[in-house]
Amino acid sequence: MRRASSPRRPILVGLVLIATAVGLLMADRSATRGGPVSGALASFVGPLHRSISAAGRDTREAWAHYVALSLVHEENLALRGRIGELEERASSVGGLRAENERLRALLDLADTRKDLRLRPARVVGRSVSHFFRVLRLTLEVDAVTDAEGQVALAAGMPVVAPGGVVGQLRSIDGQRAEVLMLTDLRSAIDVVLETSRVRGVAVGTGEPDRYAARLEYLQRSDATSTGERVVTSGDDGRYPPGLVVGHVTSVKPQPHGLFQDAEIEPYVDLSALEEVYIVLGPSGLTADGRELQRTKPGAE
Amino acid sequence: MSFGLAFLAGLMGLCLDLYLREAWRLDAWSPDFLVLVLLWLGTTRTWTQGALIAASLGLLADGFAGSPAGLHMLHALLLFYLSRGLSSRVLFQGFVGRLLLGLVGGLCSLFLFAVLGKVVLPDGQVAVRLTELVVPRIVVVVLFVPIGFPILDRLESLFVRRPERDVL
Repeated sequence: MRRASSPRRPILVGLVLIATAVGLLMADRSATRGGPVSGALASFVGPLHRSISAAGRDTREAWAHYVALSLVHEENLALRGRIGELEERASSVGGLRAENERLRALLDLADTRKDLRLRPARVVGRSVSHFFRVLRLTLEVDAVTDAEGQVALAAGMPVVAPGGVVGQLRSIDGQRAEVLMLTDLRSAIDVVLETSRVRGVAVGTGEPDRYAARLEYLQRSDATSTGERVVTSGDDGRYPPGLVVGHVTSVKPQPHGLFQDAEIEPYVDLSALEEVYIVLGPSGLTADGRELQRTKPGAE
Repeated sequence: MSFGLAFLAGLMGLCLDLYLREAWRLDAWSPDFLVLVLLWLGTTRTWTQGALIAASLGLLADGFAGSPAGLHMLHALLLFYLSRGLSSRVLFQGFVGRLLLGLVGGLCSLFLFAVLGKVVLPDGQVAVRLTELVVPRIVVVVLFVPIGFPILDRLESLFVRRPERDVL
């Protein structure tokens, strides 16, 4: 005889599912880096996400380069053929030149910051969400271990580009990694204004139409001016000191309270990033490549 | 089969959403296919089956958006329960009925996300952002519900075998 299902079953299932969702949220919320479930989700969805993003980009490019121009193409086919050939040659040269400049800037960054151990990575996608700003990277070698079998990358490591800070690693899966951009709502970086030495915290605004961050915990008495550069203070123990975050674009004194608000525009063009560096840690050298002088125990 | 079909429809919706945003840069005007599928689940599935599908799709949406795991899952579950509860009391049939369901579902979806964002995310920026999205998202959901429901119904009738009946 078939037993009728209990009328309480939907309620139980609902409670279990809601409790699971809340549990996952609590586990993930405790830190800016993703929890184990986020990592598993990223590795599960990652390949699908990348292939759909690539298909979308290809469609956009195909539309921009061929379909939208087909009407004009009919009118002056021969002339366009010639122009197309020349443009293709010019664009390939232009593309190579742009890539050359980008890579040169990347090398310059490695030269000027010899105090940091840097590992290059290539940007392969961005999260298309109204609220979250996440970059997806691919790494040249397996990120989890280096040649000596040591753990090389970990969530929370800073990510930089020639202009300055990009964000921090959120999750790593083999040769794939996710970066929480400095403009994400969940990002917070301890910063100092370069000339006035005023301290604050740069918090991402997560806006969908532009990349920006807010400078929080600025004392009302602090003299802050627009255009001033904002650099990492190093006090949060995550970002090394002196990395450029951006510059102040506006300061809004509040009529009440202890603090004033300021807005920061990142120096790095986060919409056009193609290559980045992951900061593994200090290299044991100074910024210009000299050995750090270490005090021997008992020397004084 | 019915579970798998609904899950696949949701997954396809997420993929299509991503593709449209990437290919055509629709941004705020991009159709939210996940909301469409969740509203459809509310009108066609039992409490238990619909909740399981909604939770799975929500978790996948977290992976697609790079959001904290559980945020979209909770949002999807609550939206499904709301849609299921509504459709068990009110009959949303015909073009106008579905327009109405799209309007209520779209508004509730944004409201739920605003509340969850306020609780979960570190500041209240999500609520501000959602006010900018109200008009485009509601318009798109309202327009797509009457179009999407018949397509999903037809797909289901194609793939799900009904028990045969004797006809006089």
